[in-house]
Amino acid sequence: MIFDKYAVHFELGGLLLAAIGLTWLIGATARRLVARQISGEPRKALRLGPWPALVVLAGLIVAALPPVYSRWAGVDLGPREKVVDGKREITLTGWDRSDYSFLRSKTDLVVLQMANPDVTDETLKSLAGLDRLEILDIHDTQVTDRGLTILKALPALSTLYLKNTKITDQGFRDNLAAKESLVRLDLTGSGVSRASCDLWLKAKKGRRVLR
Amino acid sequence: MPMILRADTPGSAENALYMAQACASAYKPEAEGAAEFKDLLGLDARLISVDNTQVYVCENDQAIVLAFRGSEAPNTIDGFKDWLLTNANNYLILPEGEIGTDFAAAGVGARFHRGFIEALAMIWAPLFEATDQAQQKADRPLWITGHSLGGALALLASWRFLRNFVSVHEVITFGAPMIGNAEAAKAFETELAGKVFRYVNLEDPVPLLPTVSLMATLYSHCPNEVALSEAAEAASNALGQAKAEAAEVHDNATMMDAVWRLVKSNINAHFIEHYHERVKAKCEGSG
Repeated sequence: MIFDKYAVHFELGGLLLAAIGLTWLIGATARRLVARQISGEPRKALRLGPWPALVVLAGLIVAALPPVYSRWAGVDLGPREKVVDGKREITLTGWDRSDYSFLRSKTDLVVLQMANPDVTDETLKSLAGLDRLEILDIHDTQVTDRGLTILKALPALSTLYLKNTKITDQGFRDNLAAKESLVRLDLTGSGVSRASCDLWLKAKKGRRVLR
Repeated sequence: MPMILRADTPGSAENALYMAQACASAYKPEAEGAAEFKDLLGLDARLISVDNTQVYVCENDQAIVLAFRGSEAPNTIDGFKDWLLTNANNYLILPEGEIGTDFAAAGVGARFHRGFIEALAMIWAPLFEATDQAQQKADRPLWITGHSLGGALALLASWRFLRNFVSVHEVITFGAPMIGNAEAAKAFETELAGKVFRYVNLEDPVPLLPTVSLMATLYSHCPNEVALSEAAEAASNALGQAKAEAAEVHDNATMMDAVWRLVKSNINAHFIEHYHERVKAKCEGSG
């Protein structure tokens, strides 16, 4: 939305316009007051015309547009899709929708964040063809060892957030421990043992784990 | 004898006192600051400074401590930039770019203070490198602290460290303003559960900021808030004095004085020295 980037321009610009209008209003009033004194007709109407006041009003309206819009529009809870440094990223964490199947078509997807309670092993099926997917955040989801079999086959997967999921130590050892591409894992609150983590860390240089 | 930091007493007043000193020293220029960190806290410290954001990266055998410098007084160039470019950049946004990826993880509805996000983005590369290297060299608990703007940066940084697989032990802030909307605060509450301790002087207006952005969107705090107030005796003295003064207020001048004194005391309540005193009193009270 235009206001996300240009809110400050609207607000400052509007206030500047209002200030110009106010200066005009004051100047015009002062001039007419002086002219009225000189002409000796103290009761004659000032007749400022509408324009100065309209400019002030226009300025205030422009300045008020961003806050009024944002109050009316509320916070958008749709999917967030961006391309950062040439890599497509999608965030669905906390969104207000429930259909994840569109992910199938995002074949160049690199970063996916969908840490939602309605994400299951079934949902992961939509990721089957994503061979550029590097970073996947599925913490606090219903994913189990079954879902790991799909992740095992993703060739580019390097970073996986599995905090507070029900994956087991066995599931980790069967599916992820030998996956060469994996470099960073968040296994906090999962069933993966310290021993498995230590083995995994030693198997390749530069690996990181949180548990 | 330098103070000691203990990782086995989460949320203790003694650790808070340690961090209050760290926050006070974080305002000092590098030579003076490093000496204070060494003498008073037993830490080897170096300053990382990018534009108008500064953080001391400190370590010893037991811990790594990151102390973010807060907003400096607006009568210095650095302070003026802090207030005008960072603190006043009061818009709740969904950050863009690389920093955006880390904070988008808080949810599509999470929004963050633009000024604070930009300040963190500026300093992130050298900060992350220094901290990551220190933790890889020797795994130690990571403490992150800051006063005022520094507190806001400390909180945002701790989220970013966790997203980047650097574990964080505890985050202790003093007089820190809010950093995001309700969604953001909730995400932080979940991810950093039990690790954050926000010390707040009751009279300090800064923790009540910004509350509302320049787009009329609302901010929220995340737990745990630790309220600090006058020790009971000092409070009743102050009350007695106020009563005596009230009896004397019989003209506008005296009333203006009283109001000004109140405003000044609220502003004073924000300074790190005041927090330091109150935390010290808390330590002595519980000891």
